[in-house]
Amino acid sequence: MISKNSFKYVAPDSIEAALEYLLTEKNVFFLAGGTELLPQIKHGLMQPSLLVDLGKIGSLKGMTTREEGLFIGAMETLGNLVKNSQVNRYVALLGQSALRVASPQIRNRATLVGNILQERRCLYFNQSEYWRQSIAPCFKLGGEVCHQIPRSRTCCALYYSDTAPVLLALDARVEQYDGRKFKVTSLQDILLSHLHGEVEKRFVTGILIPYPGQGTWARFIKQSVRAAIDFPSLNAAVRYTPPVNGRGPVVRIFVGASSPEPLELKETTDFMMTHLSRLSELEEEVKARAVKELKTKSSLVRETGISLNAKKSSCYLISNILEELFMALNSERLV
Amino acid sequence: MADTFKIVGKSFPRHESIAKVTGQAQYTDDLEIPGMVYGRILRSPYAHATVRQIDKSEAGKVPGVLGILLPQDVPNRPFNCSGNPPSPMLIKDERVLTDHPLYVGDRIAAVAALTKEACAEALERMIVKYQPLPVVLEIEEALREGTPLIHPELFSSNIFKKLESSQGDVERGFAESDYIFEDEFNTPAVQHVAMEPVSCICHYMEDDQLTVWSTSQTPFQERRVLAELLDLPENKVRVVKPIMGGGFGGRQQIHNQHVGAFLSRLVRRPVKIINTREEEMYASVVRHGSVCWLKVGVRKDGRLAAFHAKVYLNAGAYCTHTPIVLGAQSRKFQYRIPHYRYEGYGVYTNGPIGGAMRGYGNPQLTFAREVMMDRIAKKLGIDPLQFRVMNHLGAGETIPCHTFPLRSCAITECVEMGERIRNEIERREASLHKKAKVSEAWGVAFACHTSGPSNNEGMSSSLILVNDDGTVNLLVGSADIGQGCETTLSQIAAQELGIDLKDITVTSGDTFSTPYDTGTFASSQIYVAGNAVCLAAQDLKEKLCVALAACYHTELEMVRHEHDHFMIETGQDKKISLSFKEGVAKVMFGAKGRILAGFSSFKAEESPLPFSVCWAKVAVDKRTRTFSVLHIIQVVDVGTAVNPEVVKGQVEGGISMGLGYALMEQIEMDQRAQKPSSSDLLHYKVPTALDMPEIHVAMARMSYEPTGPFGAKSVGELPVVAVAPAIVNALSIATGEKINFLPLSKVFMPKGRSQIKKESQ
Repeated sequence: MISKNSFKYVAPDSIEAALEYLLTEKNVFFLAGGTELLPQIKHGLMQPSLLVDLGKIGSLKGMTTREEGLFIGAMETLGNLVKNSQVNRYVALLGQSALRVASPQIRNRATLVGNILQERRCLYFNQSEYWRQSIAPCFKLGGEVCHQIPRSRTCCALYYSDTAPVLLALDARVEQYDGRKFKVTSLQDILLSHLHGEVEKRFVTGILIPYPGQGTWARFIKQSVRAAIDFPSLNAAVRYTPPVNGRGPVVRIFVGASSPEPLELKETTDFMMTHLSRLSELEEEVKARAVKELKTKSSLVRETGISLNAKKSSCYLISNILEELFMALNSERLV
Repeated sequence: MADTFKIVGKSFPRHESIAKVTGQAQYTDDLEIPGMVYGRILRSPYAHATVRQIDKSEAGKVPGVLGILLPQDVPNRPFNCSGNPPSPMLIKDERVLTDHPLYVGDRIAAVAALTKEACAEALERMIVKYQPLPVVLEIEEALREGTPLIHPELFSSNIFKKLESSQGDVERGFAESDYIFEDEFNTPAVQHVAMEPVSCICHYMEDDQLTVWSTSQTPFQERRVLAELLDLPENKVRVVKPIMGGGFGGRQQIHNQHVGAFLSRLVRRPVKIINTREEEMYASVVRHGSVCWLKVGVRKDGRLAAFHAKVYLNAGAYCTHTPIVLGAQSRKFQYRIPHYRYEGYGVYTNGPIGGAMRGYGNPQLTFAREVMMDRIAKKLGIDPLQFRVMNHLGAGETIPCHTFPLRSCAITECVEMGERIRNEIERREASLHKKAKVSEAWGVAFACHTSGPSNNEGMSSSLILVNDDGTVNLLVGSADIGQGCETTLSQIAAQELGIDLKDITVTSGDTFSTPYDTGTFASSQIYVAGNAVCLAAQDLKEKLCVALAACYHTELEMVRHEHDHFMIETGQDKKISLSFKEGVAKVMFGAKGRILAGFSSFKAEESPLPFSVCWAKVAVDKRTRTFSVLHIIQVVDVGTAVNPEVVKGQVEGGISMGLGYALMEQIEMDQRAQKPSSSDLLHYKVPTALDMPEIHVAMARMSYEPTGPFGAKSVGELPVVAVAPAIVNALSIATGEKINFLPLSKVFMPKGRSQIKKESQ
């Protein structure tokens, strides 16, 4: 039994039909892979009145190379991303991050867009109704308390997507359909509004990833208690694209699982940009700044399976990735 | 020694394997009894509360609901749920249903309905008003002055059991020591996470006969407890154990069977109750969390002089097994020690119930002891392996507080075999890490356990029925819970009788049709049940000899069993040789025909110790505090390995459990919610296949236990014990840090070996 409350289920075969449900019905949930939604329904965390299954909408699937970049349809699964030749050719880092999500069985169902637009998680929220019965409902459940930080006026749950830091580092954009036309918005904007609970009825049709410039160096790292299944205790994506035709370089560092939204280590990358001419001499300083910025911007909360102390130590993983970047810079592979 | 046997010592496939992998095996949840309905238990969401009111009226209106039980509908008589033989040590402090829940998951009410959905809806509609009460979750908290008592009606303290055992005079021992080491160690509560949840079907029939199909490690103890609770004689209670998906101790107590029985009596239909995974996590049992204080005295020549342990076990809200766990824990010190003192304390809290779990108290104290042994070796400048070997007991010597000497101990062979493996690994494997800041190190730990209950209460019996074609039916009360003992016991029978394994069909764990067995715990199967099977086979052979003597009109002394045949001297220098089947054919029918059966009753008077030596290699990044376990080597002395592949499987599984215990498993208590937060297998971390190191298993070949069947000792629990201290010792060496706790994820970040391989490519 999935839910004690009954709900309607429909499976339209077009984006227009699906959008129509979203705009006209109440309490509508889109069902993509379902790997997050179904457990939430079982736990009584989400209680849809109407479940719209997107699985029959063929136009939401597929990966195509466009002039602006690689386009990945909203219903493409993480499992498909991992083995797709175009992903491996143009944005291999995305495939690497997808490979670290959960397990093969989950990746066979979970979609990229679902992974990006996942709910923030918290040990007090992601529990069964039985477990939550003895504590007051938190902000995410319409209550007035955060059990992590009782004096907080907002929810402090963390965001754990493994693919989002990579997509942010690659300046990915989101394509949406509003009933009349398709429009493309920055992923960062979409994420911020989603994670801050701004309710906007949107239909995401896919992700557009600009082709990284030639010679781009990029790394993704995920630290988790177990090598499979688990959400990250920390993940990070670092991207460096060398200057081209006098423009650039482009440096991006995004870290996940450390705060309610992905953190951009902008101060660190700004420092790098303003010291480009002698960057290779500043490796230790850059690493120290990155760790410090991450520690400053992190808002860690209690998690199951890992202590706060162990989680705090994870921040030094940023140093490891930056070390690799500097090795590449110094070996003049990135010119 | 095993090479001399035809059946024992050979890796026959387990007889149930094909059925399991093809989906034909019938587990409890696969069973459908005519008229069967479903049951669910309403459990307290609070760790401590009183129930001020229950209104079941709306629940009763749910279509399909057949009956609801409240605390006043069942006997208020306290009982002890553990599957141990009766003992005054086992405090009766638990009730079938309660209006004063003492832990999250405590049983408040129960419903029977035609469908699972109706059960769930009925529970949803039960209106229960709770008054939350102060909660005590940790040992230190429970011992603090002024802390509320969990069972004020029974005890004036939250310590409900103190057990002491000693030899010599520890104070004198410390006075004679050149060095004294003292420290405190903490281990967490962990859960068995058997694949199959607690399951039962209870059918209370019109003639006051109760049949229970359940995931039970102790069908006969379960029969006894249920008979007492339902005021039935034991001949009216039948407990049947279907194929089981694991137990690990978690099925050595009654969880839902009593509720199912009362529900069935109410609705007069069979009632099936299957635990959810969440119920498994904190409403079944866990391994006791512990606080161990150790003081060890040693002479400068490296000889241990004195050992004093004070261990506090977090029993949770009810006593269950705790006193027996303390006793078992006290009898596992495998080193030569003139002065020894063990003090064990059972402590009540409002945490999950500490019950039986693989190792039964041994992992907690051995962890503390073996970590301490490494520190002592380091201080004395002695190699940690040599330090242990020089202090280790040998055959003829006696473990502290044991009543019998060791008769077999192949610890030296285990060390030699393991070192060969370790050297081979080092020779072929360049360091996986090329980064300077990653340190690698090997750690080692020793362990022992028991073959059968170490208080020598193990009993078993066996019945071998002979069919007229000479095949046999082997009946054993011992329950195969997935460890393969039906196959290994069959091997013992086949070896003793001199017949092929395929000529034996085994039935186990049915209190109506199989003879008594104390239970599948304390690693009893090979030793206790195995000896019973051996004796039953010997009894059968003797009876066949008697029958053949009568048949051939010769004296009994002229008939003997040798080299798998019955040799009959009929006089006139005539010798006849008959196989078992030929002998049966000769005697079964005809004028002097007789029916043959062998029977035994075996009471264990000793509980020989199996031993293990475990090595772990770790690699740690000291800056990020991530670490990986790269290799685990475990060499075991189990005497004769009746089925080496089964033994290997047990060791590998034990390593997996020990790894989880060391790295990441813990039932976490959330102080804000005042309850466990480890509610499912995402919150509670059990290692996955990708987290496993390379495992190397070996068995000592030269060990033979004279009191065991064909020289065998048990292996069931042993392999869990030494893993955690071996890993911690390795990590301590690699980091230079003292580590006094588990799991390591409290301060370090585990990283699966598969990740290291990817990163190094």
